[in-house]
Amino acid sequence: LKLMPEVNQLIYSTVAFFVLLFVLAKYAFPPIVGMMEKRENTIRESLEKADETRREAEKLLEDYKKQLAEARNEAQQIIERAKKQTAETRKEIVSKAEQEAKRIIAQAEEEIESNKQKSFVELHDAVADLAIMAASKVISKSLNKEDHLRLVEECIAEVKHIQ
Amino acid sequence: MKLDPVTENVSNDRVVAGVVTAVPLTEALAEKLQAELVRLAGKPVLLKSSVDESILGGAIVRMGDKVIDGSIRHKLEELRKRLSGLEDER
Repeated sequence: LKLMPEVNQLIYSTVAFFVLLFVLAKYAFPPIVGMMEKRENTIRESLEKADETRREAEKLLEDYKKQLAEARNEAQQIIERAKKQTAETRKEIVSKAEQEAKRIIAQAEEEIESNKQKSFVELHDAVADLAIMAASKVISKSLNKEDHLRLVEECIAEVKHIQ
Repeated sequence: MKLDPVTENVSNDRVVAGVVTAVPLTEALAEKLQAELVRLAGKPVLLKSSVDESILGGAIVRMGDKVIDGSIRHKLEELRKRLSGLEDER
């Protein structure tokens, strides 16, 4: 049994191995390594790109969320403003209506007072006319000739006092 | 009230005056009135008297543009004005 090779064979094999190694190192390894490096680069770039895309997506999402929040906020503000304006308008309308009502009431009261005054004056006049008419009749009936002459004399006395 | 010597209604240096009474004027009263009017006018006066029952009593004397209304009707009219309160309100 021969387990160990021959010394020569061993030397050849070793030389052949190194020669092969050298040839491989010289011609085969660089393209392989280059290919591997290229592939590694491609993968890394893809990963980076994916990462970037993810970051962009996250940023977009963030932006959308922010915009949504702003939109909600703005909508809320618009609603608040509208509510406030409605309340103000309502208040204004009510106030105007109240003023108008007050004015109408005041005018009506004034008119009533004026009519009352007018009626009072008219009544007063009518009573005065009636009283004077009655007095005239009584006087014309009750004066006798002496009374008449005395009255004329009083009138002459009035003339006498004129300077 | 003052009566200025009247120059209107003058004819031949004579002033025309009028008196209205409710009953006919007696001669004595007419003379008395005329004397006063002559004193006022300072010249002769022709007094024309007339009767108007509607003045009720007293007399209205006119000389020129001056009038002395001493009639009962006038006094009642003034009383009526005061009663109706018109003088206060106007």
